[in-house]
Amino acid sequence: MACKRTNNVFSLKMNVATFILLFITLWPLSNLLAQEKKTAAITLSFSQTDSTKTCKATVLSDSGRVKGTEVHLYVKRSFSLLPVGKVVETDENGEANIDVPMDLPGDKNGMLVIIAKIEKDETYGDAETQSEVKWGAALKNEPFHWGDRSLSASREKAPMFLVVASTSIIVIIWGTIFYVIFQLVRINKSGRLFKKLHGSRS
Amino acid sequence: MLQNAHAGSEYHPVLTEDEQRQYRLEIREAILRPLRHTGLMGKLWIGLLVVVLLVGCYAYSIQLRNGLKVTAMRDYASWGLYISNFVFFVAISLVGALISSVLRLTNFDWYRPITRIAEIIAVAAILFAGIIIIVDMGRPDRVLNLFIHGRIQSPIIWDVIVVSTYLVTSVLFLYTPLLPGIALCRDKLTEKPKWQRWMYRVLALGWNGNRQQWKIMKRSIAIICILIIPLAISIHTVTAWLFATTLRPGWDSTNFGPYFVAGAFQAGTACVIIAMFVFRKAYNLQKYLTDVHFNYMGKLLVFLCLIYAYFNLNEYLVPAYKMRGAEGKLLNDLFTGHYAPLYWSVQIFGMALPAVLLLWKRARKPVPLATIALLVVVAAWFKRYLIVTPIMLHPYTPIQNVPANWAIYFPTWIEIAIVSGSLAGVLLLITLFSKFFPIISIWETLENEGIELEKLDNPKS
Amino acid sequence: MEKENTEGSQRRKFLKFGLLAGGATLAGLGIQKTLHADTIPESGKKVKLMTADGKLVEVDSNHMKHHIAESTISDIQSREGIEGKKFVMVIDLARCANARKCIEGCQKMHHKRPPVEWIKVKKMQDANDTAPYWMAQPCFHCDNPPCTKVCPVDATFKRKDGVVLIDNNRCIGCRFCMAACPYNARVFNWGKNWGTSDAAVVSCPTPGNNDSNDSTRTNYNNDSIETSLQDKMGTVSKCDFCVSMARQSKLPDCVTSCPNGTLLYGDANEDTVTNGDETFRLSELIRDRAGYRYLEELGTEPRVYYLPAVQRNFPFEDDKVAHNTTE
Repeated sequence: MACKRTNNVFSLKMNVATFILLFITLWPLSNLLAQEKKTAAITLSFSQTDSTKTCKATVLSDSGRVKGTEVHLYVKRSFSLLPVGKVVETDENGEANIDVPMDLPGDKNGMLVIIAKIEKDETYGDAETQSEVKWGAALKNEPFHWGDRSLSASREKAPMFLVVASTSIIVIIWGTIFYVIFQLVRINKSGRLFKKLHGSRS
Repeated sequence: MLQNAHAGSEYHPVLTEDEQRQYRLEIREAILRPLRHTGLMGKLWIGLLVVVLLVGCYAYSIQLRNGLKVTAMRDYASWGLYISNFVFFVAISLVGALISSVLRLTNFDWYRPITRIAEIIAVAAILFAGIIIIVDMGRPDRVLNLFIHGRIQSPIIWDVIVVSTYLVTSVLFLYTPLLPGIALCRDKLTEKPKWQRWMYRVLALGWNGNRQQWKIMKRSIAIICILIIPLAISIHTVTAWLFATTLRPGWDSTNFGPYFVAGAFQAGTACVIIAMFVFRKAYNLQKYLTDVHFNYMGKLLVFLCLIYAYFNLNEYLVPAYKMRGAEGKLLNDLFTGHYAPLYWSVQIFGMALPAVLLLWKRARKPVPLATIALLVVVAAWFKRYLIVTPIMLHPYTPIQNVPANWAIYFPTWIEIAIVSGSLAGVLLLITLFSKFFPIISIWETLENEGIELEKLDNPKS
Repeated sequence: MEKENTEGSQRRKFLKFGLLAGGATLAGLGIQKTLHADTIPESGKKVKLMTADGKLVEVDSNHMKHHIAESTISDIQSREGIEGKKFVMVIDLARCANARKCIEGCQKMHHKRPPVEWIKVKKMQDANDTAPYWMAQPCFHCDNPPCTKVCPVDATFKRKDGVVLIDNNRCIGCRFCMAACPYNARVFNWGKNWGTSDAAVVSCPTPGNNDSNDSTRTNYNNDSIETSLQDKMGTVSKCDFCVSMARQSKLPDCVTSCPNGTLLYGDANEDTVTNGDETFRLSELIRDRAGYRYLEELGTEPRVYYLPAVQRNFPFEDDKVAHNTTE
């Protein structure tokens, strides 16, 4: 049942897409006749020296190496893709060398997911590839230390001086209070003893 | 000069043993009299307090049902009347420590007939401080979280610890010297209903005035005397820190602890003066609460007003000299703006004027002194309001795009009813206490006259 | 077994709603909402919800998708935070035109209604003769948080991913955190359903994020700390940096609702912030645009940076209407 419904949506979307596609293709008619969309594939390779990290994107199509198409480089992030380096056109070998900043932080293993894209190329449309490389820079110093003992931490993480100081004050004060209460008990006992010895007095 | 002042000794030179016994009988009767009979005025007074208290309880039941939206507090003025009332109660509760402990330790003796008045004020005020803070809580049903999940880093936890400790210590400080008094009630008030006699019997802890009991009692009092001073100072300092540990302009002050303590001593002393005046009148205790006591209390009040004025100078003049940013706006609002009439009334009538007027001996007579003290107490209450509310309404970030009632604060009838109820509760507690227990410590007053009750109790020595 | 059933039915509900939300735009084909109604038992409880084009429709609450990802986060996980993340926000004052869409987006997302604002937009003017500007102000999720310091019961806490949250099941309502916060970021639930939107379920189609998958949320049976949907009377609430969204790698609604791309959100550990359309390196953005933090001198170390209102996208225009005039 669920599938059926999905299909409804899906076929609808397809219809809309076809319509849009048709619209787009019919509009610049001459353009369409002049060129046909081809597909291109990007491969990524990485090289590193002491002062540079370079991504080499090689763009290939059915008819060989693609020259003169713009390659965009991104790093995958939690919420979006972060553009890195310059946008570079491929040379006659179909290669674009893009320098990546040295200090880009990676994930906890130091990995960076690098994505190379061709975007809205006249001939090749969109193409994309992604590859992982251990280029992540070490994390900068943390601005705060979660889990340390501090005034803003949880109760278990109270600063030691505070725990020691408060506990000792409480013990001393309440110790004294209990001592005084014990004195009251002694007064009571003394009264009973006195009564036993002397009888009640008027 | 003050140091050697035995309030009564000017009138009562050294007495023979018989005269001493006679004097004891006399004071016992005078002090037990209000316990035996309650006049029409007394009944009306108690009735009035009960009504106000009940109205407060009713208002609180509405608040419990509907939440704090029934108050005038909103996101900017998120603390209001309850918190200022809490600070006021904590303030006046300090006086128990001052009168009974500081004066005792510094060898002043004239205070002794008024210790119990000071102590019961302390106990009642601190008890209702605890109650009013629960009233302020959005989730009173979760009050136990304070113990289950308490964070020692939070000044509120410090306050919970210190308020409960001070309450227990104050009760002990009230109770321990009261033992001979309770024993007296047990022995003399035989006409009272059964439950009351049973209460006296239990509370008297078998007191019969033997030598050992006297010794233990005096020793215990000496211990509590020392214990209660750091407690009293810390209770109000911690209360000041509830404000001073925040970053708000106007509260962000290193002066706040001593400023609060000084104000507390001043307000509390004024409360004791009023209570002395009322008890003296209502219970005919002129012989024991003499003009001499009022004279000394008046002098003490001048001294405390001056100290408080000094801290006010620090608290307001120093930042006013700089007029820094948000705090400057707040001070402008206090000095010349919206709060100016209240601010200047409080400063003049609650501090400056009393300090000047009480320099004259005639102003230290009971009636004028009690009037001035009443002024001080009322001003002290409004001063706490001025410490809380204007600061909340002068934050760093501008108050914009909020309903009109969020940008101002004027308490609703519910808040006023609850706060009045709590004030009535304090007065009721004090009144009822004075109806069940001697409001003047007989043995301490006698000692003041040079009569050792201990010796009278143990004639064989 | 039972769990699978629930998930299955939730999936159906979701699909159903997806259809519903999409329905308005797919006019002509019809929603066919009664088609399979008999397969899901009706609760009888009707909820109002708004379609993408602003139509109000009524649906049985059982036909709603319940947010699965939210309710599976335990209290302990909610208190610890997301491993390896350090959430951060950058607000570009040059782009803020007081559209107040961030407020609306936030209110929809968290089922709030005016005047309760977890993010505020304020007219700022540092001095009489300096230029006024609009400043969007969420909770700053300070690294030296004055609010978590003062909480007596650990109800508000700092997580390892930098976010400051509130456990509304523990908060005692003392409002000390509100007094301690110098930015007035916190709001209090003064009464029952205080500031909760009338429609228990509100659709929130958000630009850049409007796949039907997250176009609805419900607050039924949902008690996770992380979702901040649990506001209880007498407790404190505030901006939660939409951390339940971030867990699913989705941007907060204030960010995606802003028509001008004023708010940028991201992970400082990735040195990246984005408003959905544009993505920047956080460190470069702050360096190049002279980013600063509000009231830095207070030492609270906010996790929200501001870019000064220089070379603005819009001239400053004062508000013509008052907002939030009634409670």
